[in-house]
Amino acid sequence: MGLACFGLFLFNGRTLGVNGLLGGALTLGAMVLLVGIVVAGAATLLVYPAGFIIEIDRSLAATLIGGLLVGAGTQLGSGCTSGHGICGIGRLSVRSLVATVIFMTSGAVAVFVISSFFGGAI
Amino acid sequence: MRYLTAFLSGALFSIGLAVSGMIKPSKVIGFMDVTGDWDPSLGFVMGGALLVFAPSYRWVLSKNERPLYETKFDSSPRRGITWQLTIGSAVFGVGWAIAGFCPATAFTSLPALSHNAIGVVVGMMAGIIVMRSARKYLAPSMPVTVADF
Repeated sequence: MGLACFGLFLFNGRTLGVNGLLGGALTLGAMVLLVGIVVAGAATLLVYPAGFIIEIDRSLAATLIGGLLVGAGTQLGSGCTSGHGICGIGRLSVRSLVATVIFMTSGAVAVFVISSFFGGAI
Repeated sequence: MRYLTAFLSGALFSIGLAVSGMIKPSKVIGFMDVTGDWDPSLGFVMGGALLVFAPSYRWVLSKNERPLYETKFDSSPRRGITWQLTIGSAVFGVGWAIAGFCPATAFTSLPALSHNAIGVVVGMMAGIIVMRSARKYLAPSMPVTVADF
């Protein structure tokens, strides 16, 4: 994953952030990168299906609402796990470090609430 | 050539996510479950990626005037710690815990066609569209991210 970020920066001069890809104009380069992610996912699924088993209990409604918050939050906060957590911190950006600490913390609080009050399933 | 390197970067990143186990929502929830049965592996994976990317990023900048297939390096505008960064990241964290996927892992998992990955991708697209429409009111000074490559 670190090598992928390095390659994209060396060759294309871009930092790898999936939220940034989706939020900007969907240019050919952004779409090709996204297609690369999905195609490699499909290829890995063929040789290593065990890696794709979902072991948590989430309803379709929960995934839709969670996805909505992920999309809106990363757009407002200008980055996701790859954008802030890996590429941003890798560039020694203080705002990315702050963003990463915040989303890990709010995630931990949400997991605590889900496991304490909903028995881990929503 | 630039599209080939973009494709390969996406593919390599995706394989890394799948092989390291990070596309499993249980790994993400396990890392966030600090008061329960804590699983630190996500931290090691992110740390490993950083150990490779942080020094190589410096090396690229010191050796190259510009990227090999583009005219200039993308420089994310530094805007300081804004309320948009703080609130947006806090909302993302909650969504991540509910969904079990972040943007990248949702796309890597999409071919498995679980209701989880499909639901997250659909919800995420809707969230991005809503926030992009609302952003001119919420953050008028914020430059729109354009993936112009």
